Amino acid sequence: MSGIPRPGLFYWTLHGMGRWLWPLFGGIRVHGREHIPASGPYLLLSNHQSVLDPFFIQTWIPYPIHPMAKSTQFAGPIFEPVMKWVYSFPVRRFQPDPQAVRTTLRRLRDGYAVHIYVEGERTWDGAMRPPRPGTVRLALKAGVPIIPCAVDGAYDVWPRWDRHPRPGPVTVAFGRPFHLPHLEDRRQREAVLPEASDRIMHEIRTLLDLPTADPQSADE
Amino acid sequence: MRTVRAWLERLGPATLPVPGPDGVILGPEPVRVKRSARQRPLRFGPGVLGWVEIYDRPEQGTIALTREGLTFRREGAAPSLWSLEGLKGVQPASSSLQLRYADQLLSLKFPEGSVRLWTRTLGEALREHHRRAGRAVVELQPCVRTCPLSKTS
Repeated sequence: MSGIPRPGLFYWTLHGMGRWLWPLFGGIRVHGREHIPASGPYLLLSNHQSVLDPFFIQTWIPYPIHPMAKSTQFAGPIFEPVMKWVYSFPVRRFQPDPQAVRTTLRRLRDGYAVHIYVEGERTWDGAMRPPRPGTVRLALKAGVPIIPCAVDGAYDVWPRWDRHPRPGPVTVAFGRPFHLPHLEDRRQREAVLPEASDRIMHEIRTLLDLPTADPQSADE
Repeated sequence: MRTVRAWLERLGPATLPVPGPDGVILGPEPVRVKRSARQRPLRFGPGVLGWVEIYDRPEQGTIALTREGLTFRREGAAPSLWSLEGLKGVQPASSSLQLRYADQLLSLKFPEGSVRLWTRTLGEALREHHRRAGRAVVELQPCVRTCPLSKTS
């Protein structure tokens, strides 16, 4: 492998919180665990309802998965080591980030699983937003299996505009792996981008019948 | 018990503020601004994991949105104007509004205001600004992308 440290007690403690702690605060249901591969490489693409989503999703994956997170989350002296020890890696916003693409492809090449929130940010109103084109381009370039994942209920537990979480039931669903065409050529990727975006969103949305954002408000 | 989503549906769409006689669309409102023009590499295991912004010390002041842009005023310093033309990206974070202006990343925190309201109002102001210049906004985030208005009809 690539010399990345093995997970320790800290990782496994955080990893277990969604599964073992949340039943005390409203319960967590999971569907489709049989679709989670025994190992990487693959891309787990999910919607993003709450800051707690990593706990709700990753707790069902029995090995470390490498989530992409916004670079500002690595800024503080406490969060930087925490983010590193949960195998997260940064992506800079407002600009193309070739380093984030390289890190993703390197992780996949080394046999790891990578988790990306396709909408690029948490929902404001509970509805799914369109996917970030960069994520879809990355999926087309990577050519690895894609596991769709949907989380629901997390928005009611802790929407992004609220300061505190509240108890509530959460459901997580994993879908069947699917493939997008593996395209090295940029022009080819651009040509299939709309179709690939629709496919990804359809696969995620239909897992839990999630609501979709009004296209007029999609870029707010 | 009503869910958060059900409450939002009852609220309906928000109305955007209209410019006052002084041309101010929104504000002035207290704000804490952090600027970042530098980045550092982040390492974990072998190689570089990615790049992370380095923020300067936060500055307290007030901010107002006009048709020209955002004006940030603070005590003992000249006001900063971030023109709408120069804004390259608009993205809300959990409790702050993050902007790309020239080569700077600006993080605006509103202790008494709504990030959502500022994001939506600034988005509308940007659309209007580009519309006046004959451009349509394709997307605001992660980067402001425009195209000629003629291509949208």
